[in-house]
Amino acid sequence: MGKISWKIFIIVIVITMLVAVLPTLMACKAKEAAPSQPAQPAPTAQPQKVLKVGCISGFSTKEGLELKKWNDLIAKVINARGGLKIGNETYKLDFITYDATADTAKARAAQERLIFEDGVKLITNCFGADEVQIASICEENKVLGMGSGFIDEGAKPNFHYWYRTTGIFFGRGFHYLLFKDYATRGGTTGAVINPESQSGHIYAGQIMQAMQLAGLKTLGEVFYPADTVDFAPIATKVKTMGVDVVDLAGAGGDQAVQIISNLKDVGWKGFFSPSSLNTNQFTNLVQKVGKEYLEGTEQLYFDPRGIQKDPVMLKWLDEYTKEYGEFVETGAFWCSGWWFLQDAMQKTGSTDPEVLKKYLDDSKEGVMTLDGYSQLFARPDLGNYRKTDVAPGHGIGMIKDGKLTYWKQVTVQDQYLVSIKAYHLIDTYQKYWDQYGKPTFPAEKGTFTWEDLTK
Amino acid sequence: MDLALFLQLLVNGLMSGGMYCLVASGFTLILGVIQVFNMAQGHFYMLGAYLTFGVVVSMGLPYPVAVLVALVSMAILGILFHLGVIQWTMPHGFFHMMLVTIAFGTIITQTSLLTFGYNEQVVPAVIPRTLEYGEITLNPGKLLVIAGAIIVMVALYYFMKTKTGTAMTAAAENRDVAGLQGINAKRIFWVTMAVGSGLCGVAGALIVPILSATTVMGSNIFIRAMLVVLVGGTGSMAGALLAAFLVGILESFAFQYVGQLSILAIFVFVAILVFFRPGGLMGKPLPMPGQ
Repeated sequence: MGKISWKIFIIVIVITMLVAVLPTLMACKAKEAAPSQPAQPAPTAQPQKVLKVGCISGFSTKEGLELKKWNDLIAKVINARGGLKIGNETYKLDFITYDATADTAKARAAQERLIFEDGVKLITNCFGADEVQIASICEENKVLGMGSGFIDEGAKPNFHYWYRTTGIFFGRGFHYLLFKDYATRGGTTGAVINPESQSGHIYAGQIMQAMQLAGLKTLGEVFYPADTVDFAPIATKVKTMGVDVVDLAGAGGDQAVQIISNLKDVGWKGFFSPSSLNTNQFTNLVQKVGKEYLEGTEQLYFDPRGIQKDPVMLKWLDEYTKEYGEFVETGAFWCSGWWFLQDAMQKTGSTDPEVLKKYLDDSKEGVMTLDGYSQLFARPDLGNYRKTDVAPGHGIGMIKDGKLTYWKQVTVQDQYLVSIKAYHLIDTYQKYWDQYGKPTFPAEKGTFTWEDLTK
Repeated sequence: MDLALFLQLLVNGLMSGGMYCLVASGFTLILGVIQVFNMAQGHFYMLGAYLTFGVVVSMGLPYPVAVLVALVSMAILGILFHLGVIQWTMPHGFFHMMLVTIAFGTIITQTSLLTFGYNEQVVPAVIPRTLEYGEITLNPGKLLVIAGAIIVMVALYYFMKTKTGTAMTAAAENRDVAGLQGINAKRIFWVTMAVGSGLCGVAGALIVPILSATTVMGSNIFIRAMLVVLVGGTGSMAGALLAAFLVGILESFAFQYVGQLSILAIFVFVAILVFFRPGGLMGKPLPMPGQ
């Protein structure tokens, strides 16, 4: 009986390996066979060059899935319009998006597949994967990379090919303006509620600094395990702190809904800054706590339909709705990388990573993205004098009568200058400005000025 | 600590404890009678929550109907799972059965994701207001959850006194001797599975107006239910109830004073308790394979 079992075991293993390996072998053969076939040019047009752009997105998140939709849409629409004109060439865009699956090893495999198998030299819109790993692989292979990043490691000078096109370091302008409003309306003390993680601690520290700059007395941070489902203890703790302004921006939309609901349950009254709630989450919030509790609350306004006036971007929003039906705003903010890449390619007339890198390193203007202007800046506080970290333009919305309405824009200027002041980095940046010149904000003016830096 | 804070923490802890008790009781029953380490126990709880959302929000039916649907549906699912999978895996041993429950739990989670998406699903509050007495503010929905859990546990207690319940207890004590006494083991097994998963369905239905339905709620409660089983010991309903409320209250108070280290505080407490009382507060140690 044992012998028969071993035989069956071995047979099963062999069959499994054949089933796994055979399709791969066949695919390799097909790839090898393809170049030997004679090219068949289209009878009526010049063959189009193909520009391959890669992306690693986290499909286990809503944002990651929405990014794939945007990537696919961008390629479809551009190709339908005749291709992407860069310099004297017109390219068919092939936007390849692989899943990072929130797994470092798989994200590495996906990125190496992009570079070695697909031959990609430009990667953008990366989200949900380890930023330092992506930046390192780009560095090793001299591949231009862009995407989201939240920790200082990713903005250090050792990465020459990585550009952070969505990030939070220069994002304190939004919080400053929001907390300043709350202070004007009677808020005096602040606290941050955040999930327990490395980025959560960094983020909470940055928010606290923005609170202090706005004139609030900070009473502390409340961290919770990322897999928490019952937020009653968190709400109870916040109530006992006696704080009247609470920031929830690091909590994530669904968790923020639960936290606010529990804050109401324990009788807490004050001002809060929820996370960026999508339409569904916002509806849930209103249902759970009622309109009255939310009246006058300010939060990030992510929906580009309320912000945008640029006709090109408005057309893109239309294209999304035509393609996918109901507009979902979740991915719009995170695909800023594509607009930076497209802008760089069209301004330089090149797809060469070295040429694009040179342009980006010293870029002086903002780029219009779906959520407004964003601009790259240097990080002299990390010894990085190339422009690799983004100050994103943001909208601030206010909840009135149970509806979130667009209220005002936080400009790149506000984000940049307020962040530097909030982090007490004026001296460090002044030395950089003395050597390289002060940045300009040609796209739009802000509320916070250069004079406010020294007040 | 003032009275308002104490009451708030106590209610939070009792509510959590009620849920832990239902899930842990179901787990203990299944482990004791069928000797299956059901890693999908928390997933029945999650599915019960999602079902309640479907019945109340999508179908517009009253909440009590949704609770009943969750109870019956999870019981039926448990039976099907037992008859379709567990029963055939039994001859292959303890660890094989545990593995299939992991696979089943994964299937439930992924199916829920495909059906309901990544967003949390909110069920309207059963009592949509708060109770305020001076400084004290309480959500009456939480009190309803506590009452619901206690009622279900009382019902379970009386069920275990019936002929079927007694047969389940006998099978848990010694399956072979129970068989000699004329107890139909196969029937007892699927009834146990029905009761165990039905308890989780009810727990999910009770909690969803407070917490909302998410795909992580199953694994989250499973860990805590394991702690309750360790603290209470197997084979004792009173032990399970006591342990559940104890763990829930400890977690609630611990978070107030040590923040995100509260789960560590609970593990330390459990480790110390199990060291001195391996059988928990009132029961026996967890049965290991072959015992």
